[in-house]
Amino acid sequence: MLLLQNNLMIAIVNNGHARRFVSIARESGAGGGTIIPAKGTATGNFLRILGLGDTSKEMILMVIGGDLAEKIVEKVQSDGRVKGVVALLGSEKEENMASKWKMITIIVNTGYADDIMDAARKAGASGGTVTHARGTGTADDGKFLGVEIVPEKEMILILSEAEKTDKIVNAISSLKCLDEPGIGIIYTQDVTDFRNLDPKK
Amino acid sequence: MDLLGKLKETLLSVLPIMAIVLILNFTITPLGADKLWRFILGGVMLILGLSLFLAGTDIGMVPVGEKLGSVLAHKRNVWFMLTVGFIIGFAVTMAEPDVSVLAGQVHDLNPSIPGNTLILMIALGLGIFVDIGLLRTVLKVKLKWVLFAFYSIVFILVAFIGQSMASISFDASGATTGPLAVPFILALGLGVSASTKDDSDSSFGLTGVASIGPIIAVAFMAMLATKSSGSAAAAAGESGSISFISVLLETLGETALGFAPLFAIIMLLQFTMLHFPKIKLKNILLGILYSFIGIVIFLTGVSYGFVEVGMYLGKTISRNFSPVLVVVLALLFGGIVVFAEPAVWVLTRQVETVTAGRIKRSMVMIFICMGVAVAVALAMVRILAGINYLWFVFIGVGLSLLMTLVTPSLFTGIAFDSGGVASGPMSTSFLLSFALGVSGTADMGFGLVGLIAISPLIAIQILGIIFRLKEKKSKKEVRNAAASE
Repeated sequence: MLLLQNNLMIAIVNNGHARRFVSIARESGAGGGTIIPAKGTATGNFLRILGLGDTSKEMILMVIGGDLAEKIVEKVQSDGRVKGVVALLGSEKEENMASKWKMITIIVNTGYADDIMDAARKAGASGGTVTHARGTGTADDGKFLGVEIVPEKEMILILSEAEKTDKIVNAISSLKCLDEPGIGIIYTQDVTDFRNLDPKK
Repeated sequence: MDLLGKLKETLLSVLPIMAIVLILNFTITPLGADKLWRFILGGVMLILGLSLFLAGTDIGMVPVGEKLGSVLAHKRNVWFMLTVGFIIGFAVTMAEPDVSVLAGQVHDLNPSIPGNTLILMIALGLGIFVDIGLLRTVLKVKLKWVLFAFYSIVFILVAFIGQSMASISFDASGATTGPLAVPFILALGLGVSASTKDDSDSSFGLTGVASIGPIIAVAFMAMLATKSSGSAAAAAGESGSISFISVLLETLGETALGFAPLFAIIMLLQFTMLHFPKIKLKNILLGILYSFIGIVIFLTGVSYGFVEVGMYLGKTISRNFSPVLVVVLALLFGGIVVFAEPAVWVLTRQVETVTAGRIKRSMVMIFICMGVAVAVALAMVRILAGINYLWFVFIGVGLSLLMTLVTPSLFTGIAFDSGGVASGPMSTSFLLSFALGVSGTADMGFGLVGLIAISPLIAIQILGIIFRLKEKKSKKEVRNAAASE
């Protein structure tokens, strides 16, 4: 049953802070993590209208044992140098405690992230994180001069309060520009815990 | 917010050069109040313009280039890809302001070469070599063989045309890959290679291959043109005090002329093949607008504040002090000025993104700086000692070609891409004026830009070899650890 107690911890931190985060997590006993360059979209209205709202972020994926998360978050908070958020996914906590947060994941062809974030925000999302990825299996695959051509994708993660999730998902999937077969997928996951990494006051 | 971060970064990259000039001002070469204020204003404009330009390319040019590359790969039609690649390479070159400046200088040196024909030839050369680069990516030919093949042709041509035209043809290649073309060509190459499965090995190199085109084109022109020794009169005359407004208006006009065809092509592509959704399109248009405003501010700052100061420093120091000081200063200027080159920032960021942070931008930056520092110092030695330019080209390019045999191919690509990239508006204005000031004639001043373009080929490949050795070592350690367990 030990395996079940492992959780996936996703941390999204400001550009350059990931190394610090991972080394603190290691000190607390975590094994190691994977760092993915990402783009954050949550900033003020004014900058967004100007098209300057995006910031570089780093996303860290870590698989850790059950109670380690609390320890890591506390250490990072008291260190005070890492800015970002942490979400815990995976094995369910106590059954009766319905999670207050959900994570929406959208994987679409490259170029749609801005429009998706706009729709999500109008439906109540506060922000999102975008990374680049590569698809594997659509009708679009094929060979060109002997080279395999694969579609490029954007993966968008949005953390939202559970009650807003349906509205956001609906708003995204009813976007006109996504009205094409095979353009992408959307799914949601329960988030067992969600924390801000800013130092406690 | 990223804009603030960018402002901080560019501030750090422009301040060193300003500090050195200010120190010189208060010690050995007083500039006088007028030049000093203009230099400071120019520096502030450099910082603001560069930040805005970089923020703009991030959300404007880069997404367009990448999407275009990916769409081209997905069409699976070679002829279509080559046609679009050629048109874009051609249009971007016609747009680059540095190219028309260079064509003017060449015409002065050798009147039998008409300026417009030269621009046309350079653009044609770049267009054709963008195609060759794209073909290489899709056909998966190793970058080093392509470089070997075409640089051999360059060597043969250059040996025939003599050193003054040779230096111009290398300058032409440096001038073409300026701030307008680089983000676009880089992104185009990335887009095509990202859609083909093995990525990072073919991600870079398109700019490097493309910049061979202008060398060959100009060398051809030189062979065809009737050889006239040309009165290499000093175009290095001192222009009187120029007004800020006239510089601004001139830059605005030139840049607008450059952006207009590019903008038209992007819009045409949007409606025919790119089809960006609404909000993305809005952001892209804003991005292009920011790059435009940014580059106008940047270029105005450079030509208003930096050109004259560079020339003045070159002239005064070379007349009054020992040549050793000139070379040392050149070393310093060379290393520091590259930090302020817009295209270098675009390239190093792309490197960091593509390798997912494995190759740090600061590392690439430092190696480009060291390379350029040595190049500028060597250029001064050449001017002061009157060494034949061809030696530098043969040894420099020859060495970097040989290095491709042992360098990891990713680094070969980055190296040859940074070649053209290192020689942007800062080197063509500040460093070139410094060199012209030192030499006193336009003839010897040529070739500096070309040398700057050659130096990163060697520097970045050294970085690559170091990287390979390190990786081997760490692999060995892992294996040893596994064995001992």
